Amino acid sequence: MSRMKDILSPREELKNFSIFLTKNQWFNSICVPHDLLKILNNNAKAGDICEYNLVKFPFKNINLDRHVRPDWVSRLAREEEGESRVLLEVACECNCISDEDKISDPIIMLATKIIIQFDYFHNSNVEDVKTLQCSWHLDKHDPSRGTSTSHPLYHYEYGGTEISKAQGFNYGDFILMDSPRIMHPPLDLVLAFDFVIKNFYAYNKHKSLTDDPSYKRYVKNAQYRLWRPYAISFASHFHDFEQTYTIDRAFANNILHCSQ
Amino acid sequence: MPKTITYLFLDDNDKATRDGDVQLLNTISTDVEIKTDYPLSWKQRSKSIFTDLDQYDGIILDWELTNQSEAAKGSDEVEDVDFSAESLAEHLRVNAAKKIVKDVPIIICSADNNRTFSNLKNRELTSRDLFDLTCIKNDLFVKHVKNSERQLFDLATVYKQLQSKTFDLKEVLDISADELGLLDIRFIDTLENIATTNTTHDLVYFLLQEFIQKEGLLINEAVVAARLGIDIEKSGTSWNEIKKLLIDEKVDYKGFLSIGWSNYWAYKLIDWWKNISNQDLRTTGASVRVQILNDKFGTTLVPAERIRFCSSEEFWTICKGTKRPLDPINGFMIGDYTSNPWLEVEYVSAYAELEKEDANAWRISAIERERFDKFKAKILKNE
Repeated sequence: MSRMKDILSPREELKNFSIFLTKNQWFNSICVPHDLLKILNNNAKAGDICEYNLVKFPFKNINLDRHVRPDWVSRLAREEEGESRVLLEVACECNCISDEDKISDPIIMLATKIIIQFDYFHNSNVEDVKTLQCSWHLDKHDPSRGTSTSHPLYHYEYGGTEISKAQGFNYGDFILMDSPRIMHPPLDLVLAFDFVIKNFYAYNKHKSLTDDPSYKRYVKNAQYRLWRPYAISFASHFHDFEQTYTIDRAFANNILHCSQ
Repeated sequence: MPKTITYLFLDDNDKATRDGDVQLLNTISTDVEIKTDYPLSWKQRSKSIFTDLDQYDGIILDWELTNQSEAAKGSDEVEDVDFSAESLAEHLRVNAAKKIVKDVPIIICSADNNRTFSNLKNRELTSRDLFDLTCIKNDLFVKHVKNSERQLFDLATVYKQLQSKTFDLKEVLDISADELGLLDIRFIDTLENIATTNTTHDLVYFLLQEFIQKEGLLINEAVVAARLGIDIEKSGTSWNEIKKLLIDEKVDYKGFLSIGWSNYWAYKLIDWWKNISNQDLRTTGASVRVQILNDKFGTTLVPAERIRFCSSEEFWTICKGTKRPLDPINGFMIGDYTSNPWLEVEYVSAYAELEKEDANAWRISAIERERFDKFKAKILKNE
């Protein structure tokens, strides 16, 4: 079990993770690592808050031959008749936790968007390029803003603005994929990268990166930073941690979307 | 009124040809005068160049100095030129670094676009750093004469300014202390370091290569139009109206080297957009971007169209081949992808790569070649 002293601040982790990724050959073949180094532009600013905004970061040539409907899309993908990609967007603002025994949400703001796209030539006509897409976003709901429907603190939502923003969107252009889980612990840049890599590439492709002990450490550290407070707060509804931790009750209640 | 900037053009052609080359620029310019001379031998020129610098603010060198020239053949008085433009430039740079002579802009040009020179030019842009500019002679003196005149003027002026007073980052970039905090700290740090430890030429070279002439912190007019989704040619005067608005709102770059090179701050364009619309600029399509602008300003801008084979109209850069708007997700990376982090990666469209005339114009990065080959196979199969 890693302890806090082993884990650097989110800002340091982000920097080291980015530099680590840019050196990995497989990662270079699927991404534009340069764009990752760009978001470190104000990394040395004073203060504990780590803030970044990654926009339309492409993961190219994703493995789209499974779980895709309709079948003809699956066939096009299998026969490499199109270009597939995941576009990842992560806007995040988070605190550095200094006291391990005080459990609260390190995240101030989070919006993670995963857009899956597939370009193909409609009716094999090279002048008619079409894009199929679907998207999920995972963000932090601000509980102070009321809501009429169930709105867990962290949640996945299928579709979202990516679909509705296009005027005259043709619903025949949907690709349907396996349903997402509704509740999910937060994904910062490190965890979102891990999520995309492990979900959209075959193990034999990504293992050169993901089996690297350094990579595993970055993911573990990120989970420790974000998922430990999430998990303890979640579990505090079912177990008494009062002897061990001071838990931010509002955070714990919001996770389960209950007001008591 | 006397002209404020004088350049020396060394070329191994006869005097009539040399003077003919620079005549147009001398005629149109109220600021720059170019005088020409024969290079002479190394023995003579390597010494005289120091005294030359008393009266000149910059040097233009013909690349092929070593060729046996007509002038050399035709007269006994003129000695053979026995040195290369690079050796003279090196000689000047070394002595400027030792503070024996002042540092001046040195421009190299070649008579035609031959392959050797084109290779040299490419090399210039990456590793060699003797020259401030590398040009085709006809581009410099005829085709782009108005631009070159402004650039020659700007370079000489900036060299003088930098050598006459203490380096002030805010003045050089024409930016407030608050705005400075918005720029990439790695750029600021490198710039300050070069300014304190290196020569004037090193500083100017860094500004040109890593700031002024590259898409990154600054973007040129074509990229501004791409980011706003606008087709410049089809939009006519509406585009001029938008440009005027951008200049009124101080989105344009006004710091050093802004006279010779017109640029806009990338982050200020985003800020400007945020005052117009709450739609995220990067992820909004060109037709929506243009609709928002037309609604807001009553203009008749026309949205840019996608390059052949491209799927996205969320344009953010231009294709280095066609110079038309491109969403990087449809592009193929070219060239040096290990560039400084504040610069944008350069892309070409598949269409440009398939249609390119000069095989040496650019090269798709090794890591993208397989993706391109697959894409090409798809096009050929369906065409």
